[in-house]
Amino acid sequence: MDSIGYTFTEKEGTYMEKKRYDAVVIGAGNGGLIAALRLAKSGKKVLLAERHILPGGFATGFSRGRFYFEASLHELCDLGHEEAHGNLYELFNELGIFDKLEFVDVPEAYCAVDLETGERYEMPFGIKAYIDKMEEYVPGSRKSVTTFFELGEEIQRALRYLNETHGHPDTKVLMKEYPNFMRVAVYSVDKVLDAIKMPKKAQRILDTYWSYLGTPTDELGFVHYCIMVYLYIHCKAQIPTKRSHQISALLVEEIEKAGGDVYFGDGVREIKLGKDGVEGVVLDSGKEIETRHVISNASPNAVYKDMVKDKSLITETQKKLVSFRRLSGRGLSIFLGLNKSKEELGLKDYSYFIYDSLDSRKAYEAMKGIGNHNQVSVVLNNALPDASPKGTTILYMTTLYFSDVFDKVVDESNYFEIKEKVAKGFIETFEKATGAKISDAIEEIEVATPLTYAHYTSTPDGSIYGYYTAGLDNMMPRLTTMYQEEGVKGLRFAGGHAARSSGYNSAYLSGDLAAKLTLGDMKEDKQ
Amino acid sequence: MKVKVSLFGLTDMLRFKNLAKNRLEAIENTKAEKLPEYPINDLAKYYHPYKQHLLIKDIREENETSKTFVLVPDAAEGTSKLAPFKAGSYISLYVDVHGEFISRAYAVSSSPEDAEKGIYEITVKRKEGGIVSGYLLDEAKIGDKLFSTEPGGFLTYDGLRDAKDVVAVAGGTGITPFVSMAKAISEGSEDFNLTILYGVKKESDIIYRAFLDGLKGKVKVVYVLEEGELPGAEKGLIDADLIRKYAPKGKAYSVFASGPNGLLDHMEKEVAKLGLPKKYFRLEHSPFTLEGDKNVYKMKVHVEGEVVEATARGDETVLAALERTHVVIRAKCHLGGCGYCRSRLLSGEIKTTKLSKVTDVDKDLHYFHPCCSYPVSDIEVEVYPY
Repeated sequence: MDSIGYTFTEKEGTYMEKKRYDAVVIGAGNGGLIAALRLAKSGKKVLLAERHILPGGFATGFSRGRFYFEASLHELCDLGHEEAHGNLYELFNELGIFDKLEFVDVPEAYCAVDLETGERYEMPFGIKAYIDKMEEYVPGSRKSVTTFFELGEEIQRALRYLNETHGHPDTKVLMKEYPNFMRVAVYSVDKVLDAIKMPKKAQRILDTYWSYLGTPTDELGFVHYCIMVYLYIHCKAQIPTKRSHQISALLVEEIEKAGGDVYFGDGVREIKLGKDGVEGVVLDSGKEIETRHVISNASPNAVYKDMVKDKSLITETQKKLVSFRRLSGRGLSIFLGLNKSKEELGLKDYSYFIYDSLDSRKAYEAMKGIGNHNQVSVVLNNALPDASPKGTTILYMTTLYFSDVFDKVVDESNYFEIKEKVAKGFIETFEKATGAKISDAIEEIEVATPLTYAHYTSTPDGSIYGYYTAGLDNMMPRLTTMYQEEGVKGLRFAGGHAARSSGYNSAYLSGDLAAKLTLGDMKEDKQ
Repeated sequence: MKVKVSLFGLTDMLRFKNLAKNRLEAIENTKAEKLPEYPINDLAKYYHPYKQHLLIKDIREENETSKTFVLVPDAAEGTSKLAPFKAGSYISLYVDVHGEFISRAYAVSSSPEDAEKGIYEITVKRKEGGIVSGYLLDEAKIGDKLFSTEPGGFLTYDGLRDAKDVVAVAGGTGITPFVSMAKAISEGSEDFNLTILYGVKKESDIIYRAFLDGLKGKVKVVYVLEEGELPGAEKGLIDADLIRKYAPKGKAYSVFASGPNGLLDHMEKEVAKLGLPKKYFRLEHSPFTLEGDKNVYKMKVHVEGEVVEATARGDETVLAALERTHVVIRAKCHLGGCGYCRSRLLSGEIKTTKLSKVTDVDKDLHYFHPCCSYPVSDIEVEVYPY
């Protein structure tokens, strides 16, 4: 069934018109958008149904007064430039969207601040520059940091090989071509960095990006972390000049150009399953759509809990998987429009990683409480000088709560009060860490909490990082079994809760993978 | 590659090979629990309901030209609680005017505590030729059903942003958000000093008089009459000098303004004389109207693949034309700034009011806000249903 059609079914004595699609994509987040585009470009008739009024999920923006805020993007990983690029660069080019977007490099890797000790490190992009800077901060670290990046390069190649072999790699090839990758694959970040004899202090500085994956380095898979740091430092990070909405809106345009349909303000409320898998979906508006294939950008938790009525049709493996995994961080962001320039405020860096401690475990534990003020804060104007009117600055701070503390603190009457109180703490912490006075320059402020994220994206508990990546649910083990975990026939997942875990690049790539797997499923249908 | 990670033994290879097996076993050995509830998602629905079904519980006459409507949740339609809000917020109300749902934004004049008890109050003033105000004032009755969006808006107090002292400038029904703030302050959910300069033409235009006269403590009201006398009241129009007179001396203060656009344009000029930083001046406009032409244009509307042929007049917004066509879309602020009615112009031309806020990206892709756009040719639009 490669074309749109109508089926007439008798219902309550009247003939109801039912639309039919080759596939329905639930949710226009990063994963859903790419999945829908890939399917549409492959000649499939696809419907992308989004409950919200805007595309992008987290990849969107909003206005307050004279400021236009980016909702979530700090910096893209895995993109880069022709000379040094990652998978996202290839994907965007393949889909024909790279040239329609405009990106700028983020000026430097990061400024890390340890609140406990007052230490502060400013790290540059570029592998050589990064190693040199680390040697300056930690004499004697050069050898191990160099090894780290060499491992990163091998891991990038190894992951490509794994990807190309669709879960059936040849062990001989792996052992010959990617021996170090195999050696480190099952270990945590800390284990490998100790093994390559990286001085502790250098480890702490190198660990800074851990909060981008939401797992402290004693549990976080080395492969996952190493590839991310490698890509950031090697390819540099970029942001779209017109913020993430530029990508999201373009993707909608491209899906429609390729023949796909996109609905806003009308999400999927039910997935109809039969003995032979997916049979269709029901939209919020009550419309029924016939389809044999669904790609859900909504999490498995949300799908199995709310969208599938007859739970006996969910496979045992999927039911167990949802219990096996736990949700990662719940997000909170504070968006500030400041009425002073970044020069007046003395904010030189683009991203400030401000932690109670550069020891990721310590910071992580502190991030379980409501007193958490750990944050990654972005001064947008340091990458985009014209991001806000002359003489003003956009600053946004993001944190994660690694517990359900928000459930416990917020009740039916104190939400606005809690938001203000929490925001105050983050602002004070930022001032303390940077020495910049911002509290008297706040012209606009908005606070997005786990409730906000739950509201706009239906993500369970306001989790913005998908499932917690640790132990046997780290990225590596996920990738090794994803073809063997029995799912519901016709149902695939994309986005932050899919196998690759969260982050813009992971979500985009997960959408592409889900679409390709669905195209395979469609071929099987025909046989 | 030069490097060889040799500190791990050969067993690492084996471990890697066993990774898949170990994971699959671990999953298999997990007990499938019932899927948990997510209190945050329930709270999100409570604070941000998609739609609130309401009933008119009571109607109070404020003066010759305005009435206050007491709205309560309509449990029969599935709304059991009302969403909380920050004092100063508005709701977009959808009123069934002889079979056409027409939306308007109204500031909530009741308090946040009232909302917890299941009450929103809005005050409607007769607008010349106003379809909704005319209907509500003349025909709406107790027991009528309507619905609204969640509350929203930016004329609210924020302790991290605004000065501790606020001088409010209100004109006409623009008093309503400040009535809500005054109540919130006396109930303790807001904590700031509020001086309201309430401008009216004549004494009988004052609404909420008994409530306002009874205010004390952190809230103070000064009537500003264009005509006639009233003890303690100021005469004339509110201007920079008057604000200065009532503003605290020697410390920062914010100016909040709400009322007819004429007043707000005037206030922008007056506030400029005070030399306040921009952050200390917040205002909430009323919907802007454009002159428009007298033409009747063809309007083709796409909604989820279906096409409706209709007409749009040059002197009405595209939103009004859609509502007349029984196409209900989500419209919240009615000013052009909130983005909820984001729709796409597939062909034809429109002109927009000065409050229209569309990102460059959306402009390039022809998205627009029907609430603040007027057709100037035949148009074809894609809209999203509410």
